[in-house]
Amino acid sequence: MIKRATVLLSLLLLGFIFLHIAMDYSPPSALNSISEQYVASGPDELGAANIVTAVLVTYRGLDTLGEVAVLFISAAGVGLLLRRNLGAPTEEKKQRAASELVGTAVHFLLPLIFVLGVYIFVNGHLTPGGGFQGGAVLASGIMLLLLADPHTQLNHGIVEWLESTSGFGYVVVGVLGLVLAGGFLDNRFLDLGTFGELFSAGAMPIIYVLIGLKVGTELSAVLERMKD
Amino acid sequence: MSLTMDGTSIPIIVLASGLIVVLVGLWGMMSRRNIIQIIIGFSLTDTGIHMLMVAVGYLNGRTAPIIDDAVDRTQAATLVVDPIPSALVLTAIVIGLGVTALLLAYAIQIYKKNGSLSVDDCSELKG
Amino acid sequence: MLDPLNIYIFSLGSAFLLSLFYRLHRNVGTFVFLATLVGVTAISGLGFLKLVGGGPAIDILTAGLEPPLSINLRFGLQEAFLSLAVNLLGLLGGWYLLARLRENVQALILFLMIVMGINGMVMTRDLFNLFVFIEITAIATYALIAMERDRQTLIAGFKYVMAGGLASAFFLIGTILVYHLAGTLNIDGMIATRTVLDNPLGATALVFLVAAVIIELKPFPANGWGLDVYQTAPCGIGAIISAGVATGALAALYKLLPLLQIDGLSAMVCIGVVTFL
Repeated sequence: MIKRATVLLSLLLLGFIFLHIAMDYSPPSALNSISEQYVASGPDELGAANIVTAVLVTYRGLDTLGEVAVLFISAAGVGLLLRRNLGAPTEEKKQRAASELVGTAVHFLLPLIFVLGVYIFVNGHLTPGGGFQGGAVLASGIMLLLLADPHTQLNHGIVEWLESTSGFGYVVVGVLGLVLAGGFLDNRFLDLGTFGELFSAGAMPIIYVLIGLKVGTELSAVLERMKD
Repeated sequence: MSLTMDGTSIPIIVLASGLIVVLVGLWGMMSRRNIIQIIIGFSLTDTGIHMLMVAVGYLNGRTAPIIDDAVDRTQAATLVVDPIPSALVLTAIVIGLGVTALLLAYAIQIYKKNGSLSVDDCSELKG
Repeated sequence: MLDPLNIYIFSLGSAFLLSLFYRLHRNVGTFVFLATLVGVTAISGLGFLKLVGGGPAIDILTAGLEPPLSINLRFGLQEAFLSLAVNLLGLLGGWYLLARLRENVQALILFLMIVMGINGMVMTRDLFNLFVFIEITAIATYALIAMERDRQTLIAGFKYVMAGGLASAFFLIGTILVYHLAGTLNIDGMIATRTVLDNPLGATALVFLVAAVIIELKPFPANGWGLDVYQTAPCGIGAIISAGVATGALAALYKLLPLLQIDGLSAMVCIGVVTFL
C-alpha cells in the first residue's frame, strides 16, 4: 500500500514538473550560432552533404568514438554474463523448426537486407543513415537467419576478428587525423573530393564503413549469444 | 475541436508526448512484477527522452539537414532544422540499446537461476 | 607521446585488439592489459609532475577545430591529480584482481574501459561528452559486477542497473534542456552565458542534471542500491566502483558547480557529512 502510494506520488510530482517543462518550452526561431556554423561551413569544410553525419563523425567525433566503445562494452558484457563455463554440457534444446515460409523467405530476403545495410552505411555522408543504422540493418539480417534456422552457427573467429579490427581501424583513422591533419578524428587528411559524390568528404565514408561493420558484427554476436 | 497543424505546436506536441511516454515507462518500471516488463518500461522511458531530444531540435517549417535537391547549399542555414540534437539522439539511442542488451542478459541469467521471471521470487529486490 | 589524449588512444586501441591478443595466448592478453594500465598511469603521472612544476594546463582539441565547434578536454592541475589517482587505483586494482580477471578476456576489456571512462569524466569540457563517458563507465561496471553470476549478485546488479539507467535518463533530460537554453554543449561556453539559465526551465534542467550526478555519487539517502552491490560483487571490483566512479562523479559535479550558483562548497560539505553518518 505504501509502495503504491510512493509510486503514485513520485509520478505525480514528475508529471507536474514535466507539465511545466512543456509549458515553458518555446521552439527557437533560428539556428543557434554553433548549428548555423555547422550547416553553413560543414559542406565546404568537410565535404559532407549529410550535416548530421558531419556532426557525428567529425565535429563531435569523440562522442561517436565513445558510442562505439559503449556498444563494444555492451557486447563484451553480454558475453561475460552469458558465457558458458568450460566443461558445462551445452543443453541440446529441442528447437521448433521454423515454418517453411520463413525458411524460403530467408533465402530471398537475406541478400537484399545485407545490400540495404551496406548501402546505408556507405552512403552515410550523402543521404540519411550512416554507420549505426546500416549496422543495425545488417544485424537484423543475421537475426532473420537465426530465427529461420536456429542451428546456424556464426563463425566466431571471423566475427571477432572483424569486430576487433574495425574498432581498431577507427582508432587508427582518428590518429591519422591527428598526425596528418588538424586534430584527432579530423577527416580532412584525405582529399575532400567533389561534393555529393560517393568518394568525397575525406575520411568520413571510411569511418562510417568501419562503424557499420563493427556494429553489424557486434550486434550479430550479441544476438547469437542470447539465442541459447 | 480543430487541430490546426501550424508549425509552432508540432515540437510541443512531440515534447509532451515524449514526456508522457517517459512517465508511462517509469510507471511500468516501478509497478510491474515481471522482469521483462520492467525492462520494457525502461526502454519506454529511454524512447520518451529521445522524443524529447528530437523535439528540441525542431524549427518551424524546416526540413532535414541534408543538402540535396530540396535544400540549396547557400541558403541552408535558413532551411534546415538543428542537426545537433539529431546527432545526440543517435548516440543516446545506441547507448540505451547497450544498457537494454545488458539488462536482457541479466534477465536471462536470473531466469536460469530462479526458474521464473517474477520479481516476487527475488526476495532481496526491495525496489 | 605524453599527450593525455594518448590515454584514450592506448586504452581503446588495446581494448579493441585485446581479444585477438588473448586468442594468441592468455598471457599475451594479460600482458597487454597490464602494459596499458602502466602506460596510462605513467602518462597522467608525468603530466601531473609537469603541471606541479609550473607547466601550463593542456587543452586537448579534437577534429582540428576550436571549441565550441568541437569537443575539448582539459588536463589542468585538478584533472591531472584526479586522473593520476584513478589510474593508480586502476593499476593496483587490476594487478590485485589479475587472477580473477584474466579468466575472461571480456573482464580485462571491461576493467580497462572503466578506467578510461573515469579519465574521460574527469577531463572533458563538454556536457554530452560527459554523458557518453559516464555511460562508458557505468555500462562497464554493470557487466563487471555480475561476473560471479550467483543469485544475490545478479539481483543486486539488476537494481544497480535500474538506478544507473534512471540517473542517465535524468542527465539526458537536463542536458537537452540546457542545450536548448544555452545553445551550446561546451561547459565553458555555458558558464560564460550563465544568465540564460535563470528561468524556471533552466532551473529544472539543472536540478535534473545535479540529481543524476548525485544518484551516481551515491551519498545518503541514495545509496541503498549501492550497498547491495558492494556486498555481493567480487571484492576488488567493489572497491573500484565505489572509489573510482565516485571520484569521477565528484569531478562531474565539480564541473557543473559554476552553473548552479549555490554555495557549492557548503552544499558538498553537508552531503559529505550526512553520508558519513
